[in-house]
Formats: sequence, structure tokens, C-alpha cells
Amino acid sequence: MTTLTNDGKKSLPHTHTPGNPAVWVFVLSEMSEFAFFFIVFLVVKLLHPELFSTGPAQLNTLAGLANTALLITSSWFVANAVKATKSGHREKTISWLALTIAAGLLYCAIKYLEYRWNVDHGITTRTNLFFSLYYYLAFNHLLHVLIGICVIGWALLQSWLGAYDAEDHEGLEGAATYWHMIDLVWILLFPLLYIVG
Amino acid sequence: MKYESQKVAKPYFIFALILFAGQVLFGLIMGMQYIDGDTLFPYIPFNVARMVHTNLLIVWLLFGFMGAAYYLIPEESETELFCPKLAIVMFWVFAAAGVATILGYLLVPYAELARLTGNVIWPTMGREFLEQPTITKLGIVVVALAFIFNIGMTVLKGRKTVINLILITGLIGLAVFFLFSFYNPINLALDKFFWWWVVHLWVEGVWELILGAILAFVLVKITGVDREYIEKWLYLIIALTLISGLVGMGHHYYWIGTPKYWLWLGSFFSALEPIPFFMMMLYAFSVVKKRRINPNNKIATTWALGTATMAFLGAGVWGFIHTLAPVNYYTHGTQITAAHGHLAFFGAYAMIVMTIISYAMPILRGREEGNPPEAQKVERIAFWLMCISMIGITLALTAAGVWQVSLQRLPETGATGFIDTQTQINPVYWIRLLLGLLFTAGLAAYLASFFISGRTESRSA
Amino acid sequence: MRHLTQNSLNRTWLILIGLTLLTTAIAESSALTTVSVTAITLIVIVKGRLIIREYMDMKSANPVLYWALIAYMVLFSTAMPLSFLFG
Repeated sequence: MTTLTNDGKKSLPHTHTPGNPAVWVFVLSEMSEFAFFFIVFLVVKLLHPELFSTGPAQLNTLAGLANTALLITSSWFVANAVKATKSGHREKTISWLALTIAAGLLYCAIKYLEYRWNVDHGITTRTNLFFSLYYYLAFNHLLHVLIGICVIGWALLQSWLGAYDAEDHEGLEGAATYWHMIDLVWILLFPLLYIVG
Repeated sequence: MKYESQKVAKPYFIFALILFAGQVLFGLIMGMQYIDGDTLFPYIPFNVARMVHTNLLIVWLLFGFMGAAYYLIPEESETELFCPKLAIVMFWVFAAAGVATILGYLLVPYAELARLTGNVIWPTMGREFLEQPTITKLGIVVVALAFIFNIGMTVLKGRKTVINLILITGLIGLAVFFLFSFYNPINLALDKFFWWWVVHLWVEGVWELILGAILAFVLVKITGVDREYIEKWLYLIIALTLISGLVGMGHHYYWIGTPKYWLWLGSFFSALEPIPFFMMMLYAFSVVKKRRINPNNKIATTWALGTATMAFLGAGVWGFIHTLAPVNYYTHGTQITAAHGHLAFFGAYAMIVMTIISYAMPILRGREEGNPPEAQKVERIAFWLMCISMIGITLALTAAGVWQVSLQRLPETGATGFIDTQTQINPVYWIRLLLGLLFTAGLAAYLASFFISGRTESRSA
Repeated sequence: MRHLTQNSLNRTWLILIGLTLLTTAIAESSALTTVSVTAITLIVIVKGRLIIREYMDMKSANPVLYWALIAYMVLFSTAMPLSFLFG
């Protein structure tokens, strides 16, 4: 048995993966779940091309565009929060994280308005297969945004309690990674649902 | 080994692994029967193979948990086991009852077994996982009571730690919920309602306490990280487990005639169930990262991290996939359930038993420094073979399940019947069988690793 | 972390917003063609790569993870023009 001096694991120089391995198992399994939905979407599209060529135009592109912009901006907020912690600015970190949560909530509000707009235009989960899949995918994504808000909220609380410093902020990085994953998935969803179909 | 009486764990571990091999053998038989239903008929019909496969699973895990408790309780309590002799006697009682019951399943038609064991006097047989004759169930109760008495007295006279208190809470819960296997009301909805309390309140509730305690014990030993740090996490995980699991178990109540609010209760609370599993994985990795010692038994660390990861994937992710009521409406009882069952049982419970065996067995065999590197190398190959093939089996069953749902459950008119659907899914079952063979190879390598002595071995006992 | 200058975060944000508007402009200006769908696909890949490199700070991360993320974006965004062509 040997006793280790510092933090135990030797890592290659110049490599730094944000977050804990556990976070990556989580993020990768979430991405696999969405990958599965993407495959289902494409398979159904090949079977019913006519629904998918007319479907996207009937959706509210403005809502999709606004939410894309919001998520991109929220990712920018989170990246700034991590950067603020790295340079030891706790107050700034908290503000950036609060802005991230605000952006996430705004995203949910827009989703709500979009769903109401859909109902007014006669689009429901049962209209046709394209819209069923649109609702399934978008609602699932919304669920992930809600989880992400909780995760960022937890990172904010930890930050406020002083759990992170410039060297040790693995939890914050993990939360940020999760949030960026939500953004990445939406970047694929936006053209898939609202533009190309 | 710090206490002589920890030795009683050894026969429990060995017998657990023998039963594990049996379980996998019957898994392979069923893998073939899914492709050709007449395989081995009439000697081992599908229903018998399934009964043996699931019963062996439960029993070998119980042997594993008992072995784990006998090993870790004296060490945690810093005292010899209350009565080692009782533990050995109970081992033989349990092993004999287990073997007799399995032979009963295999040699006598089930109805005949029920008649021979006097099921009419106190009918408890015929329900999934609870197929054991009433007399065997009574035997299990006797063994469990003797076991808890023995463990409990040891804890009472010794040091009380968070780990041994959580372990014993889990074990008492296990015994208490088993009592519901004796309750068999005529009303089918009531029967089902309480039927879920046995195995499913185990796996979503009290067994998670056992899992958490064993994992924490192994992590303390192999990382040298402060007990306080690990205990803090353990409290959090256990609290979240009980909050989410006990009510979340209601996701089984959607379609059995219970009030509608179970749709909401079951969906909401079971959606939270992945959280404790995620936290367990998060803390396992961060504890290992913080480790202050680097023991020669490296494979035990691999098992510990592997358990946390695979438990999260199997119980957390694959559970979540079909837990929400609107999804479960279509997927209930399809191969998606089987996929979840396989990865969750293997990832959480089979692997935690192998984790404690990987840590404790070398010490029990007088190899205080762990197995020789040659043996660990084979065990590592076995670890990856089993994990990868089990993920493969899970993915194959998930694909089978999605296919099944699309043929049998989704169509509002003209849905395919059950057996026709199974026939169409056949290609996936071939893939599953091949992966099952790969898993068997992994298990064979694992068992073989116990017999590798290695040149650098230093015997201290 | 050294790479994360305030400027690069801001610049990345501007580029991402610009690309999003460009996607919408392409889509709204005329009916979709192979060329425009291909352009939208390329934009998705560029956006994903920017987020992965600049925001997630994966430039110096474990290369397996980095390339897994990039491959994910490339794979599922190129499925779009392919399904457009053959759909």
C-alpha cells in the first residue's frame, strides 16, 4: 500500500475536463436519450415525408428563434459565472447564475405562450405525427430546462455559501456543463422542428 | 482481517457466486426460449426457467448481503460477532432450503409442489418472485430473524457508526417487507397493491440503504478518506432515497385499480428517484479523487466506481425512461421493463455484492494486500466483459421494447398480438443471446480469477 | 481557463446570435433548397463547435469527450440535409 501525497490522481499536463466523471455519465446519458429521439424523428420523417415538409412552417418560428437566442445567452451567462469564480469574484458568479436562471424561466414563459398560440391555431399533440413528435421533443427539452434551473439554483446556493473558490469549483463546472448540454440539444432541435423538419 | 468472526462471511460469498452462475445459466436457457419457445420443453418450460432465474437472483443477492453484513458489522462495531456459530448454522439452513426449493421447481410440476407443501393451508404461492412454497418462506423468516438478531446484538454491544446503523436499518426493512409475502388477499387489486411491497420496496427503498452502507464501507477502506465526509453524503443519499423511493414505488400502481392520484404521486416521486443514484455516483468519484491511500487491491476501486455508475444508468436512467404515467401507459410490462430490470439489478445489487467480495474475499483468504496482480488483471477483464455485455443486453432489450410498443401498444386499430410481436422481434433476441454468452464468458473469467495465485503472492495467514 | 478572456466570451455570443438570425433569415427568405439546408447544417455545426470550445471550455479537455461532443453535433445535424434530400 502506498500513501499519496496530493490529490491522488495523476493527470496529463494541460488537460482539464470540467466537472466530475459522474456529471459526464449523466450528461452523456441525457444526450443518448435525445439521440434516440432524433433517430425516432428521422425514421418517422422517412415514413411520412409530406407531414414533415409542411409541419415546420405552421409552427411559430419567432418563439423558436427567441428561445434559441435565450438559451445561447444563458450559456454565455453560465460561462461568465465559471470565469468569475476562476478569478475569485463570488459576487459576480452569483449575479451571472441568477441571470442564467432568469433566462431559463423566460424560456419557460415563451414555451407557455407558444403552446397557447399553438392551441389557437389548432395545433395539438394529436394533430398529426409531426406535431406529436414536436410536442414530445420540445416538452422533453422543457423538462430538461427545468432540471437545469434546479441544478443552476443549487450551484448558486453553493456559491453563496462559499463552497467554490478559484481552484476548487468542480460542482459549478458540472452544473455549467449540464446547462450547455441543454443548449447544444436545442441548437439541433431548432432547425429540426421549426425550419427543415 | 481484524476480527476472527468475520470469517463466517466466506461461505456466504462463495455460495452467492455459485447461485449467480446458476442464475446466468437459466438466463441463457430463456434467451434461447425467446427465440424458440420449445427449447428444452418439456423438461424446463419457460415459466420454470423464469422462476428459477428470478428466484436465484433474489437468493444470491440475499446471501451476498448477509455475507457483506457478517464481514463489515464486526469491523465497524469493533467487536466480534455476537454468535458466529449461529451464522454458520443459518448458512446451512438457508442453503439447504434454497437448494431444495430450486430442485422442487425443476423436478416437480408447480401445482404438484403446491400440493406437496400444503399450500392450501396457507396459500402464498403463485406470484412472481414469491413462488416459494409457504414452508420455504417461513424458513426464510427464521433465517432472517436469526441473522438480524445476530447482527443487531453485535451492533448493540459494539461501536455504532452511521454505516452500520444504516445497514441494519436496511436489513430490518428487508425483513419487515418480506412479511407481506404472507398476505395474499382474494381481491386482485389488493393482492397486487401489497405484492409490490416485497421485492419493489426492497429495490427502491431498503436495499438502497444496504447498497449505500456497503459502498460507503468499501470507500472508507480503499480511499482512506475521512469517515465524516463520507457519512455526510450518506445521510443525504439515504434521505433522498426514502423520500423518492417509498412514494415513487407508486409508479407500479398506475394500472392495477388504485385511485387516480397514484398517477401523479407515482410519476412525480419516481421521477426524483435518479437523484440519489446520481449523488451516489458523484460522491463515489469525488471520494476516490480525494483518496489518501493507494491500496494494492486496485480492482476493488474499479468495482466501487463501476457499481455507482451502473446503478445510476440502470436504476436511474433506465428507470426514468418509462416511469412517467403517459409513457408507462404504452410501455408497461414490455421488454423496456426487462431492460431496466436487467441493468438495475446488475448495476446496483449484483455489482455491490461483487464490490464487497472483491474487497473482502482476498482478506478472508489471507491476502491482506489484495489479490496478486495476475488475478486482478483477469478480474478486470471480467469486470469489463460483464459491464459491457450487460449494457449491450439492456440496449438490445430496449430496442426490442420500442419495437414491441410500436407494433403491439401504439396502434389504435390493428395492433399486432403479443406472440406475433415476439416473433417479429426475433432478430433482436439473437443479439441479446450473443451478448448473454459474452456475459457468461465474463462471469467465467470472474470465477476463474479466484483460482489464480500468482508468483508475487504473499500469504500472511 | 487562460483562454477564457472576457472578449472571447462576448465575441462568441455575438457570433452565435448572428448565426441564429442568419439561419432564420435563410429559412424565411425563400423555399428551402438543398443549398440552403446545407448552409443551415453547417451553421449548426459551427454553433455547436463554438459552444463546446468556448463556453464549455472543452479545448483542453479529455480528447475522447471533446470529439464525442463534436461528433454528436456533426452526426445529428447532417442527418437533416440527408433526410431532406431523400425524405
